[in-house]
Amino acid sequence: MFPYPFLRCMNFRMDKKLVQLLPIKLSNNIHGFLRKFLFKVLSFGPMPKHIAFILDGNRRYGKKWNLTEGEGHERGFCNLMTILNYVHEMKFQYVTVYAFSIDNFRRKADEVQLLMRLIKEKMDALVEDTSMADKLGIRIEFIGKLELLDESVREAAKKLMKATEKNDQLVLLVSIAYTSTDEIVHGVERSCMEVRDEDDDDDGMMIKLVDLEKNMYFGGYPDPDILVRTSGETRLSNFLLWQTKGCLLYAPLCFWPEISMRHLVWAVLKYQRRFFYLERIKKQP
Amino acid sequence: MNVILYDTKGVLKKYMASSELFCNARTTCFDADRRTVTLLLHGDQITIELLSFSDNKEIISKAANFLCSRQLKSNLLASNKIEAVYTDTDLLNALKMAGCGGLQPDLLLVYGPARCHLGFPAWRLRYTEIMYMGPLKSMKHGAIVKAIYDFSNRNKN
Repeated sequence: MFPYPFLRCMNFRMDKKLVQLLPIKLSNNIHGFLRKFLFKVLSFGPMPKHIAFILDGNRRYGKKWNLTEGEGHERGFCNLMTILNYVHEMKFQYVTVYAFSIDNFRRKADEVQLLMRLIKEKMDALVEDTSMADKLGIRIEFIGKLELLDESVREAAKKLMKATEKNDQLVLLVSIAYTSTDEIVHGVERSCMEVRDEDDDDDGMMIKLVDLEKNMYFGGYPDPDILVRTSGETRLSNFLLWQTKGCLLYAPLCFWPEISMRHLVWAVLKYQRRFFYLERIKKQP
Repeated sequence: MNVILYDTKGVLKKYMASSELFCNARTTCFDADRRTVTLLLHGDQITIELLSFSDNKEIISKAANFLCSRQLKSNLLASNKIEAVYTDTDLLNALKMAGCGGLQPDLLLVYGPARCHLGFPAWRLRYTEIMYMGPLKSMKHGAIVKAIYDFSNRNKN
């Protein structure tokens, strides 16, 4: 029994599975078309080049929906893939995500192990199957004090960076074992080593601001235009403190696994509304 | 109670020191560089610190130079070159020597056209709640009281 009269009229015999899938495929195509149309309309205004996310609320999402431990983070990872799709369609150039802070090492040992295991699983899966990263042209870079990670996680990160190094459409900067204060200290250490190696006798300002910025983890990358922190939290939690002078801060109330296209579109609209003011702030010396 | 007043260009630093509020010698006490003022208002002591963007990256650069020059001097005295390994505490102490190592605010109220921290000193913004209050002309006593009330409720939860 065909549920669709027009198909019956055409006497068209179809596979039952395909008939069941037809509305899903159709709605996906319509949704994709409308989404691309919306992004095209948005692109008539100034578009941000770099967006940063603080992935907050995975555990609270898991508790809200009575999920097992770690499943909240799994769903968060799946949602990250969806958001990357949208960001790619909106033609962003850089995306930064705050995956794991140095302060998170102070959590319970089993929780830290669970997170590290999940991160390594996802890295290994992406190294084995780079089709998604290659399709979107994503180059993945890991930023932070990587020597704090286990050897196996560090190796997996290096393999993933190597596997995606030829992609050039979108750069995904994953901040892992990172805090902004550690980044500043790292910049100071490297700058001091450079001065020591130059062996200059000049007693003036040996370390200039450009030297500090060049030696930081985010040296060479542009400052973010929008920083999104989910769960309605309004703290930066030691993330990108140096780089967010003229950055729009957006804090939607949803948890990270719940963030969707509409939040992204709203963030871009807010950015476009205040574009000239934010650019003026960024350019001030 | 400690209050920080921040603006990007340092206008507050230039003009607040000569404003009528701070000219009463009985209740006002400026520090050496006229950047911090302690007031006595209705029996309560309030310390007001005036900051600008020059207290952010430039001060960290000065602190970095202080640490570097100390490292080079110790390298001169030692026979082998010692690797520069610093911690957050070393940089914090260097910032205090450079004059910007004060307390980290719990709450930052932002007035302006956009929700943006405008280059507030990075070292003091780590875990600060940032609340956007709208344009400067909407600054009212009731809105500030509500912001502090919401902050205290959030911390209780």
